[in-house]
Amino acid sequence: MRYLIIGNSAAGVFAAETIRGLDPDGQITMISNEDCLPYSRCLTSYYLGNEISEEMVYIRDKAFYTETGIDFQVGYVVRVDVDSKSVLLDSGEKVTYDKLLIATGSSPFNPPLEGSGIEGIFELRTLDDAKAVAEFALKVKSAVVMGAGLVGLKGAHGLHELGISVTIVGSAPQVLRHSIDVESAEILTRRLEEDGYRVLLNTKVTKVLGEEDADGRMSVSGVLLNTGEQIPCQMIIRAVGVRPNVKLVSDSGVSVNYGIIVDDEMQTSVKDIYAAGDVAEASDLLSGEKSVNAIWPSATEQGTVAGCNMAGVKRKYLGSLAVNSAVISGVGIISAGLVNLPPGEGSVLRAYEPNKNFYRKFMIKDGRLVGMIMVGDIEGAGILSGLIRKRAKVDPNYLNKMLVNPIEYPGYLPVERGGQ
Amino acid sequence: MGSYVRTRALTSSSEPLDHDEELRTSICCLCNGGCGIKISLDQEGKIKAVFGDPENPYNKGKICSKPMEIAQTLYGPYRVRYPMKKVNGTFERISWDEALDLIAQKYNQYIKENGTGSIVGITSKIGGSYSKLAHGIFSELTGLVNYGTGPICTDSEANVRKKLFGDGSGTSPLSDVVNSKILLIVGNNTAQTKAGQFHWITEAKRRGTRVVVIDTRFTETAQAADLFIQIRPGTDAALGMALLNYVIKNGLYDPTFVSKHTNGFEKLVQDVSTFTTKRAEEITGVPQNVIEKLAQDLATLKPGMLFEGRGIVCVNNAGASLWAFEGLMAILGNIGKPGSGIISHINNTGGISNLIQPNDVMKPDRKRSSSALYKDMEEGDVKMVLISGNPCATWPDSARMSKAIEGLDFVVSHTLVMDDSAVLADIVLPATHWLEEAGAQPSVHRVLQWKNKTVEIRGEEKSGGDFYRLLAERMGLNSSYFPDSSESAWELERKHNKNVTGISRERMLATPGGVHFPCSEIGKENVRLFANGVFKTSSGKVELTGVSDAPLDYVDTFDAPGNNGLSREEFPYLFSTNKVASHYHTECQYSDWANEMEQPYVEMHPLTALEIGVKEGDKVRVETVAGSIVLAAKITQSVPRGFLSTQPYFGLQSPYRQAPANTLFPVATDPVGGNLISKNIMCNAKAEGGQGS
Amino acid sequence: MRVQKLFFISKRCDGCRACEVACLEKHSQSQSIFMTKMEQPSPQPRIKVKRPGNQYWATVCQHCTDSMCVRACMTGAMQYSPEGEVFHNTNKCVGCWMCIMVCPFGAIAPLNEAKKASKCDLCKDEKIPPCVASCSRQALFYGTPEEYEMKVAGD
Ligand SMILES: Cc1cc2nc3c(=O)[nH]c(=O)nc-3n(C[C@H](O)[C@H](O)[C@H](O)COP(=O)(O)OP(=O)(O)OC[C@H]3O[C@@H](n4cnc5c(N)ncnc54)[C@H](O)[C@@H]3O)c2cc1C
Ligand code: SF4
Repeated sequence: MRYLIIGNSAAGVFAAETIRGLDPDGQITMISNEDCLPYSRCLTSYYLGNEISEEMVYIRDKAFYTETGIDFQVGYVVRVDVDSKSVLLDSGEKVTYDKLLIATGSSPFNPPLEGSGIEGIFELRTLDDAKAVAEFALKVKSAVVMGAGLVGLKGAHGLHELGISVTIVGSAPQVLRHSIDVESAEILTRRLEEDGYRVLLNTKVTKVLGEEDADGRMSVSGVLLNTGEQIPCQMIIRAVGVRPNVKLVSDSGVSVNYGIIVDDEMQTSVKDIYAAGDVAEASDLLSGEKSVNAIWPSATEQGTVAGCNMAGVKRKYLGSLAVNSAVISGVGIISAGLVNLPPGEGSVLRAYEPNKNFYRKFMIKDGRLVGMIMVGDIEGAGILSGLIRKRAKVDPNYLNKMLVNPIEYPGYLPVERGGQ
Repeated sequence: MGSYVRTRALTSSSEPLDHDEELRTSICCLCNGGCGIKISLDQEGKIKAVFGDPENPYNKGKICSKPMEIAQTLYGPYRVRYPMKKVNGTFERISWDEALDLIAQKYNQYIKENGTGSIVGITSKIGGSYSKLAHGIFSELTGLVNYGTGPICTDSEANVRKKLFGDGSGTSPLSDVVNSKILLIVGNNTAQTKAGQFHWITEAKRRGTRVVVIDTRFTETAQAADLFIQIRPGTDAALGMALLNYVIKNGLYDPTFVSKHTNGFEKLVQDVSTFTTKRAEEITGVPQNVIEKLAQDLATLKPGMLFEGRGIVCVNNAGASLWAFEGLMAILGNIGKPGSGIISHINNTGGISNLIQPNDVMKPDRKRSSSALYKDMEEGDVKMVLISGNPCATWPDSARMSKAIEGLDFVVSHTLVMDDSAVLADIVLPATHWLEEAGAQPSVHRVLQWKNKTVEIRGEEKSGGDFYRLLAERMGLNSSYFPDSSESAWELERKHNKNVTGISRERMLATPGGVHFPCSEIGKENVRLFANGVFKTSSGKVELTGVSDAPLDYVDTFDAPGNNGLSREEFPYLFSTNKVASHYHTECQYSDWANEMEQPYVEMHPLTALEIGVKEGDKVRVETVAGSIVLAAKITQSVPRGFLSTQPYFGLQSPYRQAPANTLFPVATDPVGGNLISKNIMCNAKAEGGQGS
Repeated sequence: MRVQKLFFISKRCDGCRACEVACLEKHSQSQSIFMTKMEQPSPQPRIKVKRPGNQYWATVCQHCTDSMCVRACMTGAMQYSPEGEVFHNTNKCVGCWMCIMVCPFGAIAPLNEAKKASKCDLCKDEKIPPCVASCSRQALFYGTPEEYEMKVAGD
């Protein structure tokens, strides 16, 4: 059996390891345009901020490819040819497969921006990006980070660690719009400001301002905001959003909506072609609808499920649960499931102690926990995300108690299994 | 997981029961705590019960279990009541006359044929002030060299302190703790070993003194402290040196005291300069931040006091720890002022002088270190020994000591009970108990208290005072030097020892709690030593470098005498003995009550028990280079992993029928201070056959 | 693969928490239960006994065969041993708490000062884990699931 995996990151690595575990003799080829050991892009901001060494960014050690018997090839896949069961590399080489996994992840998406063709504007997706930012940051005093999502905040943190004064500009009314609610966002914004960040919400960068340096090259000197304010800076990180890397399957017959649509075995509309990770559009655990859930744990889980099925062991994907964990200015925040309930639906439990940076919010619908946010004391968060995942009926008394007390495993409390 | 502390055998406070009869007052002479006690007697005049004396300002009615046990020790089956002579392996009753004649004859014969050095005294339990004085006179007249409690208990402490300050005694009374801001207790389970006086420490703590206990075991004392620092066994010197270094480097010492009252500060600075708190953390296991915080506390909380215990004295690297901690007190300026100084159970009142005419003095013709004594006994250089005490249980390598004593030509034991040493003697003499003898008793509060004779003897017991006077007479010595009663002995002592000249019997009896010494005349009592800033060293200053020629240096206990050269594989654990209140001296074991309180055990950490493969109560064979004994496992987290501990004595002749724990210690001494060791010996431990309870 | 792990037998537990103490001491720098509070960073017990309902419950890593934490860990710090136990490499850990976010047993604790996660490591350097040794009521069992079934579950 010839397995081909495109992408050597979270989804790809977990799939490959799963396949190797189930099919010791299968031939596994892994292709990526990133010529390095598998690494965690989540750690690029830690690397940037000098909190960890480059070595620590890698999630597998040097022996990974040889020990698992994976044939690793560097290359960029231009096209998937469904009929000949092969992929075409940018080098012109063709690689055939019996089973294919597309784990190409996503790429930063940057809407057009006036003045952006000059030096000092960066993205933060790859290790190379991080290295470039780190190198340029040496000569920078202040920076603007566009985007107040997870990547934006983590990037801002990295720069802040280097002693750079950072302004975060977000178009939404709050930070981490997709993963937390307004109240918890306020705590984080306050903490960020206490730590010396400037956080501008409901704000857009309309133009990049540049000036000529000694060598006659144009480089960033500031940004102009929609408010009319000009912020001087020598560097910009653009982190406003990502798009799945689906180009390689366009016109191939593989169905694509936003990402590549997969069934609950992670198989695409075309037999023997699977997709997992940031590139895949799988069903959501709570709504059942297809969506892209671009987070590390979903990528690894989807990779594992895809790997199983590719190796012939049937395994169902239970659906993605949106979970996020971040430590922002020393305050831990974890969310899972829905972070807001539509008005009139279900009930919400909330506890807030501003001076302790303590916040908890539980979303309950039909007697089930469907979402939670914990700020500050996050110990035991997995117990609650587990309850969401199980879609079990949960005793409201238990939740009321957990709102302000250390989270305890419900153990023998009446918990009824729900879901299908 | 077993217990954290021994819940029994702690300070007991007892109210006298309702009683018709008169209660007699005395001072307990068991541990230098000097607790006032009240004795109730039955119709026959025997002790019925012992209580704490509520009138005594030092113990305020509190006492520990040991004095209560006396009733059983005194009238129990082990008590020796009349002189005996060994004939063909069994003891036969003889008269005092016969006994004294025999001893005198042998004594004179050995002096003549083998020299004065062929006779030694092992006299750790010589008796009260009367006996001590008479024994001192006797020794001067005969050139007798004696081994008291020093070698097994106090030598290192006394020697180091003597070199530093010129006096081996504690510099301050325990009662001073209520004036101190911080009290450092190092290797000292004073809640057990000065149980009746421990309330001073809890009272000080209540008044705000920060009580810090540094110990390898979580003791009852540690339990009562503000801060307990658990330290790896035998690493105290590293902690002390790091404290010194930190205090010096950060300028936290008292510069005025250092420049006016010390010598050798620069060398001390040099000696400790590499001892960072980080390095100390690695050696001691005590987190660096804890060490630094302690150093800062010591610098800011003044005055401060130090109370060291056997935990850092009876160990193979004692010298450096004592030197470091006492040096630390000195450079902090914690000497001589109220609430400062060093508390110790060494409280010497000083010796007599100018009593014996020079031509009556006989100088010993040879002297030996305590460790050389074994060899000289084995090889026949020593012919005769006079024992008051129980070296076969209290000295290291007890089996070797027993064999050596057994092999001597002539052994005399003046003893309370038929213990492991007495059974080896040729002549056994009945000794009085301290309740059967009057005398002046010094205490940890640096006071002298007078106790009258409380109970009558019931057999032919004689005090050491009488024994040595009578022996001197038989030997044809000038017996006019000797006093003939406790009272006349004290008058004589006052005349020849200016430290006590101002302290008459009447004053002691009239002053609740007794009179502070030294006191050359009324009104010149010294509550604490060195208040005037003049030290008893030749320079009059604290000699910070004076302890040894070598620099102050940390020596790992595994590389120190007794352990060096041994394989860690063969002997993976450390073994120590640690006293408990009910078994303070070997004599205390000869009581059913003591027996009920502590059965022989060896404390070990649960994980050590797991390694050895034993459960609570199972028999464990503890083995060292010197020997092996079997004890029941007592599993507790109060000792660190790999560390075994038991109470020190036992005895094959005691009701326990248990080989003394000192069997396990080879004869080794702390090279700096000279103490024989009874802690931190490398050992192995194995499950012994059948299961226990 | 022979995964040996800890099993908790709730009906035997009387909530004395000796296991917590044993665990804390074992995972302290000083190896002293008395120093743990003063250590910086201070350790946490990796087994915690609670009473959520009317029985005790020990929270401790279950060394799941298909572990959420291994998948969620974004640094590769959470990994399987060759035997299949879940091991935590503290050197790699950055304290992102992704594992805590997903562990359904709440068996991973955040060490906030150290910025490291902490969980049961089965004390492989011991004959049997100290927590098991410390339990006087045999409420903790260390062994494979099969051994557990054979020796304990039936009783
Ligand atoms: C800065 C940053 C911080 C993040 N922090 C978190 C976080 O804290 N928590 C969290 O859950 N998630 C976080 N994420 C998201 C997380 O990193 C992604 O969800 C995860 O990496 C997705 O993994 P993947 O395997 O699907 O794809 P990717 O990690 O995107 O990997 C795809 C790989 O495929 C290669 N590739 C793409 N196209 C081709 C092609 N045509 N031919 C060959 N190779 C190709 C790419 O070069 C890449 O190596 C963060 C992301 C970033 C950028
Ligand atoms: S906290 Fe450590 S172990 Fe847990 S997910 Fe983050 S890096 Fe991994």
